[in-house]
Amino acid sequence: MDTDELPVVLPSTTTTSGLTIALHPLPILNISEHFTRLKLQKRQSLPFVLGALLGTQTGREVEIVNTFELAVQDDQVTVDQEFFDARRDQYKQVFPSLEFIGWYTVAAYPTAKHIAFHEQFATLIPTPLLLLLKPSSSFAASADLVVQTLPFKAYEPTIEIRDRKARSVFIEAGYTVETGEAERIAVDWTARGGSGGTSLESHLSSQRAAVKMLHDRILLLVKYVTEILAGEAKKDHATLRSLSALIASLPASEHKGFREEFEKEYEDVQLTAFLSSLTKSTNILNDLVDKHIVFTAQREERGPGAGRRRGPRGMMDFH
Amino acid sequence: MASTAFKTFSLANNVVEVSPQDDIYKFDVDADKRINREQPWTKDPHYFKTCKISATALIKMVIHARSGVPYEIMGLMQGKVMGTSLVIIDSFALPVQGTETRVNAANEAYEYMVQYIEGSKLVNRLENAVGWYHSHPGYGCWLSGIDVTTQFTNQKFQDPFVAVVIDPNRTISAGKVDIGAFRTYPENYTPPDAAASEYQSIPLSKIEDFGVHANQYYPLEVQIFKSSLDNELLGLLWNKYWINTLSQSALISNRAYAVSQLNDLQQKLAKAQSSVSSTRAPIPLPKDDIKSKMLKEEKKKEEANQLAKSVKDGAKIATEAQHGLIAQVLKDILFSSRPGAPTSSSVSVEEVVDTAMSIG
Repeated sequence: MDTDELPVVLPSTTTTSGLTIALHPLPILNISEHFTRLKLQKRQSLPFVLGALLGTQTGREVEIVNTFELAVQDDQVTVDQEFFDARRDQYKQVFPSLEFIGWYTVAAYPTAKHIAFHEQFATLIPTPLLLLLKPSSSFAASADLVVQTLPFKAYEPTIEIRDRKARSVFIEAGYTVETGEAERIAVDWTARGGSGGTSLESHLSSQRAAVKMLHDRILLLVKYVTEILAGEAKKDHATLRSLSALIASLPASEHKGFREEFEKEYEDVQLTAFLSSLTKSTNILNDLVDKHIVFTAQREERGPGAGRRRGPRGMMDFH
Repeated sequence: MASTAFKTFSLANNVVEVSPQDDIYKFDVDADKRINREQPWTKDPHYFKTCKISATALIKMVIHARSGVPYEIMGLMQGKVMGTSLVIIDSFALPVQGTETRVNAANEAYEYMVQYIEGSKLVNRLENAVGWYHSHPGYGCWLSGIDVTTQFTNQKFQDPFVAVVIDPNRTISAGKVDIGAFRTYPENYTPPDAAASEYQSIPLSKIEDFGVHANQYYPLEVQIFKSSLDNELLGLLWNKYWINTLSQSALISNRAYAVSQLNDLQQKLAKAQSSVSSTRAPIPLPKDDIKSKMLKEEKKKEEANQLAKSVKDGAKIATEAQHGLIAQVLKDILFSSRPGAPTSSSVSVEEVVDTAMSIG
């Protein structure tokens, strides 16, 4: 039986990947830019996109941090090894902690063609991950926030033994989105269009948006629990256990040491505010004194006798 | 007040959402060759007015800048010229640590640059290098003397070229990206009186370098653009990383920077202490007098008022700290209060917000 006819992805009910994958926003945007650029240059709606993933892998934890594009040779199947080596070394010079951990492309689901590429990458590292961007002209504009997921899927390669033959297959792996602080601010800023200064309003509105998301998620959980109590939904013990663990861990900070630290930080910040207003008042005072000098000096010019008496005294009597 | 409103308005209009065809990403080889032949920028030193940066290029630069703290890092940017704006599509890092004492750090990375740009053509990245970026960790976005010299040379031999500066520390403490794009004037060109540039707080150690060269270059307006696909992905991304917004704390991650800011402010205040006795109030003039000449003199006197500048610096530090604190207090209320029990903590969000509003 030809491997082409068998599905290349193992169904996720039988096997699950043991990897914990953390995906950063930068690779997501890089891949999107690569795809858009090729779409425009080649004027195709689904050009062939290929690139490498850079990141770190410690045991079963993988973090995908950056990407770069790859070239294929004219037969459209073999990766341009020279270019790959050169590019990878260059990225090593600038980001020594990142390594080649996988590759990406744009497709709806993995096919035999991807297995061919996988074989090539497998010569470099044992288990190169595959990240797929699903091209679809209309992303689900669903109001249900659970359905709105990123159109990316991560796959871990593995070997399947079937009919005494071993072949490479992919298993879908879940991923979470992690960001560094600078990354988050940059992504947030560009998402909002690069507007706004350090205004209180923009800061508060981003906090509010985050809190609203938390609130929506909590509402969903509450709805689920009420449905279970009403007997409508099926009890999922794993979820219920994690829910009760979550509630047990609240309140998060009654610990005395934490409270002290928190209060201290609060006081420090309020002290800075106080000092800043003090400085401001000093400046205003200085301005006022300067103006007063000008004022009395002018009065001196007009009435020397009266002014001389009043001038210096006027300043000391200043309350 | 009016200046803030104007600033917000003009900043709010800086987003240029690319047309559905994402035309800006297309690279037209012929148009590029043509404009490189004509070189309209050689005739007008003020030719370039805006610098459009793509979302990916910006994020890459910010991440690179942050990863290099406390060193200054540098890199190149690829893009093209569109009208009076320099469009930056992509950026890449250079394996060079810039220090203020090396003028041509770029020479060391020359081989890297050439290799990278040549390789880029193989993956359909056809744009040429149109600029360089580097970071000023903690001391603001402007060009130092060495930077100005470097940019002079760049504009002589590699025009069109733009210099971009990023401050990763300010970015984190302010919660927005601190970035500036600059072009130098050709030597022996005196610019017409530049409009008073926006005040930014510069540390004492660098303020001389800043002042001496401030008139040799001018800032370009920075706009960010992204493709329609980027937009959708960013919207979806928010669903995932809103957690980080709540869990990260600007106060904690930027502690070292905040301390250095306070130190610097203290030194400035010490300086102000000596000079404050010599401040003079501006004399009110009747309306008919030659206003412009007098206004300039008054402005100069204002600028010399150290105390006033320290006030602005202090207000900025305090406001940013307040913002961080608001986040912390919010989290405290969310996660630490027991239902029904009176809030044992003496803090409340309204108080902090009020304080923040009264400072700024």
